[in-house]
Amino acid sequence: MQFWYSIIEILPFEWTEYGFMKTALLAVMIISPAIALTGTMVVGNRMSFFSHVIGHSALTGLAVGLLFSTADPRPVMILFAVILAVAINIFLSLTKADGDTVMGVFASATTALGIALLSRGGSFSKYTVYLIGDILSITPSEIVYLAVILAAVILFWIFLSGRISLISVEPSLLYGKIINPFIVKTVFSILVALIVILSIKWVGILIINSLFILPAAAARIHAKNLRAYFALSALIGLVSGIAGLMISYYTESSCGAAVVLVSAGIYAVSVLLKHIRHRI
Amino acid sequence: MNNHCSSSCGGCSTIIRSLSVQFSGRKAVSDISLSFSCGELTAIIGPNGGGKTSILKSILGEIPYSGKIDFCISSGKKKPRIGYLPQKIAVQKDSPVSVCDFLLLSEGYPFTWLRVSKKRREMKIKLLEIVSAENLIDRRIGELSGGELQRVLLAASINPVPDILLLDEPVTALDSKGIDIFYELICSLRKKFHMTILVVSHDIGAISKHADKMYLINEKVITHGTPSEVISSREFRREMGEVYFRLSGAKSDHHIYGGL
Repeated sequence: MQFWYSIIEILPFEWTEYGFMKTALLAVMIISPAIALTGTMVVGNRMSFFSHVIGHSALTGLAVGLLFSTADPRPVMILFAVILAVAINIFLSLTKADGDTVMGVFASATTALGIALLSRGGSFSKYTVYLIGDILSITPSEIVYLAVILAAVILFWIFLSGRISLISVEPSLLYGKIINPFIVKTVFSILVALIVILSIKWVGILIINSLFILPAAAARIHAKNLRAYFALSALIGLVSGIAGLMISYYTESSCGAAVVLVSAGIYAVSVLLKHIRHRI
Repeated sequence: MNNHCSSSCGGCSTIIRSLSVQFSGRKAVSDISLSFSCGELTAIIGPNGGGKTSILKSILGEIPYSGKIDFCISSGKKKPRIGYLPQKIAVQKDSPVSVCDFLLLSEGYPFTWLRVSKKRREMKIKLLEIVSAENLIDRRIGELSGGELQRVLLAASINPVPDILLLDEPVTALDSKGIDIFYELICSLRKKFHMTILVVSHDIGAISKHADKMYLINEKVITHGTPSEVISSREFRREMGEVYFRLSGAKSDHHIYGGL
């Protein structure tokens, strides 16, 4: 960490004096490309509603987690999210029900249950940090959680990004080819659940899904192949993460919101550029 | 006029014995037995909901079934290689998967995040040449037309060369000229690689020109034989009445009988 601090202090900005900003910058640089890279696969497999569900179910997970341990509810939250992710997958593959509707049901039910549990005794306000997140509150030792996420994402991406991209084209093509699409998808769901829960305190339930979706959505417009898609999405994630943090510092508003707005801007410009290119 | 492709590697057959498949309590097929010889093009026809696709999915191992399927396997392998061309494939229009990516992925190569080596790329171009689609290598699959996509999917399904190739309604996206070109392509592949080819099709006129053998399926095997035997049978007329009259009315145009 000392090494990181000394690098940052070289930069000629006012904010480099603040330790929390340096830690937050490192955090943003780890988490935003990791989420953006995962987002390529979320968007490719039309799972944006799924990450939405996992994000919102964090409220219920938090309530359940606090029942077991008020000091650190995270282990229970992770367990809850993983069980939910697997349950949704099994439910979808067994019933062949319309994914969109099922997700809608799960999202509403888990959000409502979370609010009901957390608001007992009228004390919901102390949990609002989970709704909007606060990256500035991250401590140097907590960077470890983000590093775990990054490692898990990279590992999955190296070995399974291809398979999951093939599933997005045609699941039947995977049958008889070593890996069962259901297993790939379930492992991926667990990864998404892990990311959401480990980062939710700093990113926020209301915002996390945008971090998955927006960079990939913009990258899809330009990418000529999968390699470009992955690279571009991670880059857009990284750029909007850093830019968002800076903007939030100077405007004194929420960092997560600023990050999302920057990537939304990049998406809008991408759509515009594509239109102009087609016209010419 | 003879559109049949000849040559057979002989001997070996894929044999299905008393296959039954159930879908949510309803029987799709019950107790059917079929056999497909290596080097032959076998067509499965029958009314909608008669269980044609269930047979393919059982062979793929995609759905649970009862009965036994013995594959015709080239020596030295434990499991059969199955090539599969799905009926309809809902490619997302905005999918960033390129044709090259797709071919690499479908042969099981997972590292599409790496730069594609020149050698790998050359191999994929060669593969696309078989289906005359080498110019599509760098296109995004979401941008392809129906016929282009069909050829790319076919290229993927014959790489690596399968023991048995399953085609599920392969010509729905094609016009009549495209259909003939497609089946000629299939026939040339069969000659070249001596594989067992199984086609499920609605387009009885086109498939009967090219198939060696035909099964009429409606929950059970109604009848089977050469296409001309099947089409002229009483059972065919009973099951497929409407198609029968259309076919016999148009036989001079389509060479249904003349071609057989």
